[in-house]
Amino acid sequence: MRELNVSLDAVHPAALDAALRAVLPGKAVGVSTYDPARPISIWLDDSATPDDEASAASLAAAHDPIFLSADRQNIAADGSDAASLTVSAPKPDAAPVTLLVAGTAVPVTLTDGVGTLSIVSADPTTIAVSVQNAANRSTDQLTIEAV
Amino acid sequence: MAAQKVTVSGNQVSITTSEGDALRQSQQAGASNPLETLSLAQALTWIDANVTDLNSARLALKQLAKLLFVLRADLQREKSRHR
Repeated sequence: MRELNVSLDAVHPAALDAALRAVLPGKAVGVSTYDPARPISIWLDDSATPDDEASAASLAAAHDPIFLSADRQNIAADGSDAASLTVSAPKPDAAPVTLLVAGTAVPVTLTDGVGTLSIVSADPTTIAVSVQNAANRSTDQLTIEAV
Repeated sequence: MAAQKVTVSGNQVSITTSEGDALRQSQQAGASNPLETLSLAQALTWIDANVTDLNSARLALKQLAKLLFVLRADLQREKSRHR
């Protein structure tokens, strides 16, 4: 197995791992992260070529992580009880973020890499939240239950 | 699962469902439905007094259908609330 070290300000390990596996099927083995000061390790199979290493390094450089979190997973279905979503895109030149809320694209305004959305529901339902165009950015998916 | 409708205003996202929307619409439309507020005896008396020809029978059937729709939607809403 071969190790490629890359310094990144922030990393979403699952998203980077998925992006590597998509571009280098059978050759990308995984990603290890340590404390923020230490470069991450990208593990490649011995069959990886220098071109594969360059592709992996390029993907890591383009990695633009997005993290989703919610303060609650359950809200009352009364149209006013709200769950607050926090969206974090810590890369200094992060691309715009659009979430998919119940399948609808909802742009998020980021200030210093952080944005918030509140979600209310007038009816009992399960609300799925994910990132639109999530490749190499996020694998986070949230579910809010309105009951 | 009922179709979801998403409305975005500023940074607030509001969700409704097709079932909920239909229920609210029916409740609004049925606000003056006499069958919704009468007791059984009163409803039967109302029917006797009002269903005197085909047109009034049609009207009463429509009121009854509205009432059933609201009750069914209420029941589905309660069932999904206790899922």
